[in-house]
Amino acid sequence: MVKQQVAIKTRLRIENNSKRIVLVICDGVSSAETMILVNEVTKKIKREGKRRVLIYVISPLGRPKYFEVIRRLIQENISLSMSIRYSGSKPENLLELIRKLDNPDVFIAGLCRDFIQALDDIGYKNVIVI
Amino acid sequence: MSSCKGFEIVITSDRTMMSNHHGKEFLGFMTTAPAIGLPKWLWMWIAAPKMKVDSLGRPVEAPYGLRKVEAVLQDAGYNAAIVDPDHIHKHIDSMKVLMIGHHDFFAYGPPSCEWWMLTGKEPVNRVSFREFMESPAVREAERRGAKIIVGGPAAWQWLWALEEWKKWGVDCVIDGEAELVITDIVEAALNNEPLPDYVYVGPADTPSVEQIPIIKGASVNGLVEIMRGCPRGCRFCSVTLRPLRFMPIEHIVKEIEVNVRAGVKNAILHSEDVLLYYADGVKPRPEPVLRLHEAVLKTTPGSIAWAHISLAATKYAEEKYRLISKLMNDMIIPRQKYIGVEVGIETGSVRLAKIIMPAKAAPYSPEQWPEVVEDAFRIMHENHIVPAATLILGLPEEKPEDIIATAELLDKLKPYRSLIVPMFFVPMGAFKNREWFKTHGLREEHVDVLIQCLRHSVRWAEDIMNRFYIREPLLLPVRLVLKLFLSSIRKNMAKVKPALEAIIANGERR
Repeated sequence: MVKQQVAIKTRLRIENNSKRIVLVICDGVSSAETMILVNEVTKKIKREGKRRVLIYVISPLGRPKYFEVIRRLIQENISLSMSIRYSGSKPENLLELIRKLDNPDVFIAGLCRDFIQALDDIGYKNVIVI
Repeated sequence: MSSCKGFEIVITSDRTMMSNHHGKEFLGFMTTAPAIGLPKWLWMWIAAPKMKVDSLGRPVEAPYGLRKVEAVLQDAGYNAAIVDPDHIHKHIDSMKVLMIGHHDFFAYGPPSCEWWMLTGKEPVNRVSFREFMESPAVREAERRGAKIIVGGPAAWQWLWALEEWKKWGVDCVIDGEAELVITDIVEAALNNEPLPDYVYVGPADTPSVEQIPIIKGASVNGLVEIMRGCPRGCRFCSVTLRPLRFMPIEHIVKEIEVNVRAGVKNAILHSEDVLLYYADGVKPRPEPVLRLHEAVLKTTPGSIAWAHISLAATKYAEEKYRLISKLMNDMIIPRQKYIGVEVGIETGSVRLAKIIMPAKAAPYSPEQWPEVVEDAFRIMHENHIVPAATLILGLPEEKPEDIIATAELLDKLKPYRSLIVPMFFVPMGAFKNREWFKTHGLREEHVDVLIQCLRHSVRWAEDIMNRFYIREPLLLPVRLVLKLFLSSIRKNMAKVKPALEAIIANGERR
């Protein structure tokens, strides 16, 4: 049985001093939207000049099915160390993550109305909806 | 070490990896194909016989990559060891982490996917890995809560095997050089902390030479790494993404000594290009290469082999310094009849070479690539070097005229003793975001090249077996089965072309 994971603190070297971002991945992401997501995330990481990225994924698709959407992100990457963590499937998990991280960049792809609503409700602005 | 209680961290792989292939590394390539014309058990017996193990199930020889992981963890004080896949049940009570490495978990890599596409049958490496993951011991380990961490050169394949990932309860996939990242991931696993699903090790986390440990136990067929990375930057290759590092001779000798102490008398020098050991860019320097061989031959009681050399370095080294003749005549031939090595032709097309591998011919120009290939093959033939060469079909940007250029080059290579293995393009390296080559992309020009390669390789395989290969009396049964296999291919050669043409016709109908 695959277990759900919510981890904020890390002891892993590969996650130290990394750019932290949150991806919310729902059903119905087209391949064109996947490419837009990849481009947006890559742009954001490059702008900060970090060599490591820690990606928290919130997805009702579950683990590891969400990789159907984000494997392109891994394929396109050569130069960064990357750690990808599944952090839950529900809007509550997203809100908990945002509370624990320091104003993370959030990217939302697919039919994620509940997640967008949850962020709107708390007035969270650091979001890119694909 | 609490060995009597079993290991907490068990490092392993399936049988196709955990084998010394009768001491003949090249036989290991048979694990990338389905059992053709032979029962699967016989195919596996030839390609991947079981390894000798101790009472704890630790194999005498194990894949080199797993040996590195074992060394890192043992150096850090963990109760970790490589265990043969048939013996992991001995550690079921103690096992908290099960680490599994592979070159080709799902047969999505080259050349496995090609044999799979052409024959329609699953290669034995895929079948063997599935059987291992579904074995009672692995299922029991997972049921008891052992964390399953997978990695190795084929880590990327899990991104296309999400059902298996879920079904088999894999906790973490590690993609890239693991030396600097593995201990804290294992520590987190032992402490039952959540693990990342996927880790890609980028340049910031690749180890320096000083951070790469010496193996603790013998590697399969005495393979030892002399370099990591490659300076040529071919766009289809993942090795070129890694920084270039040279292992010092003392480090290499120490690893050979580990192998020799375990009874492994031969050595395989692993590098993407042995001739570029401490080279001046892509220009070989004789002095370090000769010093390396002097030290290796002094330490190795048996024979040596090279993992890879490049054709451009071969031509340059011989024409500028007569380095190949010196190495072979003065150092290697006095103790063995030949040396085996893998080389990459990839294409005979200058146009395509310029796009996908502009530095492959360096220090020569890409326009000289076909001439470089032919000259290097001649030099190798004259010096008893037997290459297993690869070609890539279905490369991005490939046009029919490129395939024809490859066919023309193959014609010129007929007189030179070699095996030539065509492979279908698999997206890796800087091309890892490109599309896979599939059978519906197969063209008549591809079929001609496939047939040329088959004819060439069968002809020379028979010659190689008659002169050099598998001459040991103990291996007579393996030799007989292989000879029968080759003769059956020769007899059935006429049926191959219509079968391939049928694949094209089926593709057109789709």
